[in-house]
Amino acid sequence: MIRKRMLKYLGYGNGQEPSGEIKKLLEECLEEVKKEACPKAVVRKFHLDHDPLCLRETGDEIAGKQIGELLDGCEECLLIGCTLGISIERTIRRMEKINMTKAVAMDAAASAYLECFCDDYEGKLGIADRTFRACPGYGDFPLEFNQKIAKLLDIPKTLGAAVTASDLLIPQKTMLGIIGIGTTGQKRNCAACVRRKSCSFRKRGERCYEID
Amino acid sequence: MLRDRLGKDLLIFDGAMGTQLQNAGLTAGDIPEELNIKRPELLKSIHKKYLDAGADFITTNTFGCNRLKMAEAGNELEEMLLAAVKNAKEARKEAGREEDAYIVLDIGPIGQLLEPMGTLSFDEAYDIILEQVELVKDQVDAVLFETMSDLYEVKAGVLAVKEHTDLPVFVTMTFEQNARTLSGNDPETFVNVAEGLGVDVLGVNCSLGPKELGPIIEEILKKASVPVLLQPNAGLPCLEHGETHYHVTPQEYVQEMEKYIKEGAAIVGGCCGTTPEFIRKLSEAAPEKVISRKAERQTRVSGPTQTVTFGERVIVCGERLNPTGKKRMKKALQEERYDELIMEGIRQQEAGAHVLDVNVGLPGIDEPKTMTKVIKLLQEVIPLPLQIDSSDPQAIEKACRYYNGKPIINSVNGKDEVMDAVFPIVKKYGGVVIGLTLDEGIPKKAEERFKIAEKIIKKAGEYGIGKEDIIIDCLTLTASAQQKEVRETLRAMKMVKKLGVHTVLGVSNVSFGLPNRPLLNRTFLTLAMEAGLDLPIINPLDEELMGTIDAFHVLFYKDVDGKDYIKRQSKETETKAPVKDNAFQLKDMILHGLKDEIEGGVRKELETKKPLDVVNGEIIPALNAVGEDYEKGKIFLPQLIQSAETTKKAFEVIKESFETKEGDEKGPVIMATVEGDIHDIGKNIVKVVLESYGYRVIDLGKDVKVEQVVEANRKYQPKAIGLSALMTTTVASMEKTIQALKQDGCEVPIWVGGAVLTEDIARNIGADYYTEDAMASVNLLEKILK
Repeated sequence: MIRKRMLKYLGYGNGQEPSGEIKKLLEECLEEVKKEACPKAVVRKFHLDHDPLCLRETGDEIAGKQIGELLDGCEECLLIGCTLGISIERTIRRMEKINMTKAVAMDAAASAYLECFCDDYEGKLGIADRTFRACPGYGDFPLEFNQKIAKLLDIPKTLGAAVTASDLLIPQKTMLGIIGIGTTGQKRNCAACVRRKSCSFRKRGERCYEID
Repeated sequence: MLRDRLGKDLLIFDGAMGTQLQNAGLTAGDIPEELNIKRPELLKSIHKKYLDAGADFITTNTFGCNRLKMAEAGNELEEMLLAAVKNAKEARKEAGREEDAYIVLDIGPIGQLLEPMGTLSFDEAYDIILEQVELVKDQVDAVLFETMSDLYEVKAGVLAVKEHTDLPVFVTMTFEQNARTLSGNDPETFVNVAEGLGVDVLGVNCSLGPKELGPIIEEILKKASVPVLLQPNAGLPCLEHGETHYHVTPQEYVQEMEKYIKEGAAIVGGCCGTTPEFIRKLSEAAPEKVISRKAERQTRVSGPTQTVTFGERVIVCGERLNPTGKKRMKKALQEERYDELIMEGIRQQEAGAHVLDVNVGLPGIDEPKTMTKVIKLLQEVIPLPLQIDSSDPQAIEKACRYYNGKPIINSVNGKDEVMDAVFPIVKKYGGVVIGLTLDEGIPKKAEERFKIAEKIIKKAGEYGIGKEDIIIDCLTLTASAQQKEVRETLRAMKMVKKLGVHTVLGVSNVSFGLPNRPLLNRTFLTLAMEAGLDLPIINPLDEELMGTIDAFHVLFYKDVDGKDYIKRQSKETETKAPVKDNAFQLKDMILHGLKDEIEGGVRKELETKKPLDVVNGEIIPALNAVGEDYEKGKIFLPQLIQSAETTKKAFEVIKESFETKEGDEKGPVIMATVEGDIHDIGKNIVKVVLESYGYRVIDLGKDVKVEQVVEANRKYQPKAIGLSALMTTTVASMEKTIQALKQDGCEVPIWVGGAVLTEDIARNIGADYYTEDAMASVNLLEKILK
């Protein structure tokens, strides 16, 4: 799965395969990422109140139509955070100085690895009725909510990560999200995405996420 | 006095604060520091319980009490800090412990990552911490930085305290099971850097229980010279029903801790999950005095995440980051093209260097500024310790301040005024200093050089710098000019070694003006190593020279069983296999992105063709074919970049063979990832592809301030400006940048790109063009810059 997603992020369409030297290089990068990554995850359960949608324990409001629909009918939710750590970030930055091809491949491999690690981690929590993981910044779920999740999960301490003043995550291969508990929710879709008209994945008949 | 007791009396720290507050009803999202004002009685009772249990130290409830973390708090930072100290003081009074218990200002991590990995600058971190310290410095007995994971942040904090108070500074870091902090620091580097900065106490806290922390604690006790403080958790944290629990009992905890007390721990307490009961049992079990231990005093230098220890083996210092006699490096420095220096640094590391000398001394250059800039850039991607090489004390001071780790400082000599200028810097920031055995000139005789070495060591001692932080340079002389004195260097070195210090030499000086310099260099190196040379400053890319060191390690029983020698030298023979004559044409090399072969390919073409014909007849058509294939979806991003990098290399070879005039280059264009944004891989891809089309790209980097872009526009007068931003929040700062540029009279086209950008958004924020990817950027510039 990691390999498949990595290729997707690099622009390969479904069924398209690299060959020759590039194939070798991509495989190498994937191995290097697996070796260098220090994956870590943290999760915490909260109750949800509706109208307006917010975390019951803290009163933090969750804005956005799409996220509201997703969590509709959920009594509880999980805030989740995953990271591959700072060392893989150093490796990729270093690679950018000496071999951009490898840097790009490693960046894609790391994104794919983070996604898969997070999926596996969620799977192991063994929650049957749950929504997919929604992350701030996607659709109309405001990016600012990263600040709230970061604080409640204490990510500097638990993940060695931080949210910048512009709501971005460092290390870059870090992901914060929310999972509704109690319903399977709706399927992922592109309705609220700013790029839905110009998305290169959509042009290829794909999605940036795994189609449910 | 607290300082008099440290390391002599065994002292007891308090236990967890957070655990106590949670038991009292603190819930998720609450700000613990607000309780200092809202519930002073609760705080006082917690402090008092720890004091009654036997704690000699209580820590204020101020872990996150900095202006960033408290931005949303209902009270002012100052109020919360002052209330925290007041609570602690009153509790101490109520417990009747005013004479013998200490109040420690507790400071946790700021919560933002520091540059270069993060966006918080060293100076901002310093200011944030200083604000906390200044408010209460007269009311506390010591400052504790705890649960730290980044040594660079520790450095900012320690300096803030030491530059404004005389308070003792304690530092504890938090290590993961892989024996590294979340920022990648290891215990040895922590000890080396923290001691260099002059902390009074260091140690570990949090993350794991006393048992799991064993190997980390043992290493710290073995290496630290200052008293060691231990505050483990009550075992490993276990998640149950969404809450964290700890399962080690007070008895079990104390049992484990007693082992470390026997090994010389000086202060013991607890972290998450520990309670007054743990502290009571610990206090009852602890002896009155610290059990003495002998720490290894070794010469150690550190980069951000790794430490090199002098002793057994020869340490290689790479000499190539120095413009003296290197035209290309000189030009790169003058034109501020620092990427070239970084690549040279990486090449030396990959060739086996352990330390890199950094010298940016050029006439007309602002050395303090340039040195600091280069060091920051190098440390972003190179973990090796650096050797700050300058004769300008100001440059040394500034570089030492912003350096992440414990550097080598190159150098002082026997002149008093030089030592008086540099030793205080070495002492303050922590460094290992090189002492050159010269004063008014280089003495001819070994005995005289030895005398200068003695003088340097004595004077360093007066500044509180120990022998382990001194490396003596007996000075290599040139065989062609001072043949008779070459042996004096070796003789002096043997004598100096008896003083108990390590030695350094710039090896290649020996061969100036003589043919076959490498032969003289490696012969001299061999003799010098036999005479006790620890740190040769050499070119690590010289494989035979490096091989000489490998061989020396085998012959002097330093590489037992010749393991490293066998590993490296058998690889050498493999890679030296003759290169096959490649049948690929230059065009194919670009299409297939054969980076390693392109140089030979271009040279072969140049034997029969003019450079311009090679460019127009071979390279450009190949590049166009790659671009077309990419746009048609026949090839993908990795191939596009691989081909671009190959082409860039081809151009470099072409450039060597004929002087390019300014007019031959396209551009220049400025590129930047805007303020607040650290995701610059997309911009870097565009840059590589543009360069492959012959554009000169001035890359301002990531998180580039608005003013910096404006300033660069004035300075370089580019043909176009490219800006990138990843997310909606940073598109706002892209808009600000564009406005500022236009207000400043910028008339060149501005093009933008990034994940959430579209044609519409680009237009709305005032950009002239939007491009979707690297090829689109090339096509745009080819069209508009004709």
